[in-house]
Amino acid sequence: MSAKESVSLGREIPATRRVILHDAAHMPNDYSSTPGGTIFSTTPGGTRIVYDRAFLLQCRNSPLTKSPPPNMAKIPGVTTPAEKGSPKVNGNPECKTVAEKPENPGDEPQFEMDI
Amino acid sequence: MAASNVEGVQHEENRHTDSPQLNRKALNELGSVEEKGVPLNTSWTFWLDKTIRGTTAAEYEASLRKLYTVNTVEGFWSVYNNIPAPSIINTRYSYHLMRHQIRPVWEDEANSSGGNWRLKCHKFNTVQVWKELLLAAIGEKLSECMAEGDEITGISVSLRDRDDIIQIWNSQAVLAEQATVVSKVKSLLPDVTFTAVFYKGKSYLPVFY
Repeated sequence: MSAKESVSLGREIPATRRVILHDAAHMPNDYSSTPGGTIFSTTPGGTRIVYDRAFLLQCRNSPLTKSPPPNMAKIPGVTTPAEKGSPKVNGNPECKTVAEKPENPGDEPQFEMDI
Repeated sequence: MAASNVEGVQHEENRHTDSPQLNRKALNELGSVEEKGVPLNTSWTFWLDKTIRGTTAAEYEASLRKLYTVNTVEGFWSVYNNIPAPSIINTRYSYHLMRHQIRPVWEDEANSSGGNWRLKCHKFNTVQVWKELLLAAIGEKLSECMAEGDEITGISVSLRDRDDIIQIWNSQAVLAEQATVVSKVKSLLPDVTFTAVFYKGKSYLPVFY
C-alpha cells in the first residue's frame, strides 16, 4: 500500500497555464501558435501573452459575449436603455412584489429546525 | 448558543442578498464567465466620462464612471458587444480602456510620468479606429512598438462636435520619442486619414508629427 502510494505521487509541472477551449473556432490558424495565444518569454518586458486580431475576432461570437457581465455598471442611456417618457403599464405590480419581499423573513424561524 | 449562531449566519446571508448589484447569483455567474474565457495578458478596465466645459479636474474625475474590469477575451467582448458604439453615444462623452484599473486622468499614479498620443479622425472612421486599437491593445500588439521600460496604459475615444479624438496612453513620456506606435497605427488602419497627430506628456509641451 505504502509502496504504491510513493510510486503514484506526482505533481503538476509548475507555472502551467491551462487554456480550455470550448469551440474548435478557437484553435489557432497556424502551427506556430498555441491555443489561447502565444507566449513570448523573451520580450523585453518579460513574459507577455499576445493575440492576433483574427483570434480575438473569432472569440467575439462566443456565447459568453452575447450578454453584458451581470454586474456591469448601469448607466441609463449607455449601458441600460434610457428612461422612457411614459411609465410602463405593468410597472406598479412589479414594485409591489419587491416591496412585499421584506415581509417574508417573518416565516423563516420555521426552517431553523432543518439546520 | 447554537441557535444564536444560526441566526447570525442567516442575518449575514440576508445582508449579502440584499445588495442589488452583487448578489450571490451574479457573483457566481461572473466567476463562471471569467473562468471559461481565454486569459488576457493583463486585466483592462472600461471607463466612461462626460466632459463638460469649465469643470475642474476634481469635477471631471467625479463624472468618470467605471463600467467593468475584464480579464479574458470573452469578458472584453461581453462588454464591447453590449455597450453602444462610439458613433451612437452623444458628443462630449469618452470611452476609455485602461490597463489594470488605471484611471484616464493625469492624477493617477500610473500616469504621473506618462503621456498620450492624440490622433484626430473623421467621425465616419471613429468606430473602426476604436475597435482596431482596442484589439491591438489587448492583443499586446502595440506593446511591440514601445521602447524598453515603456508600456501602453490605455486607449481613449472622445466624441466631439467635429473630428473625434483618439488617445493612446503610455507610461513613460521620456521614452515616447523612441516608440513607433504612430506608424503602427497607420499600418493597422491604412485607409484612415488622421487630421492631426501629436504627443502630449503630462508636463511637456505637445510634439506634433
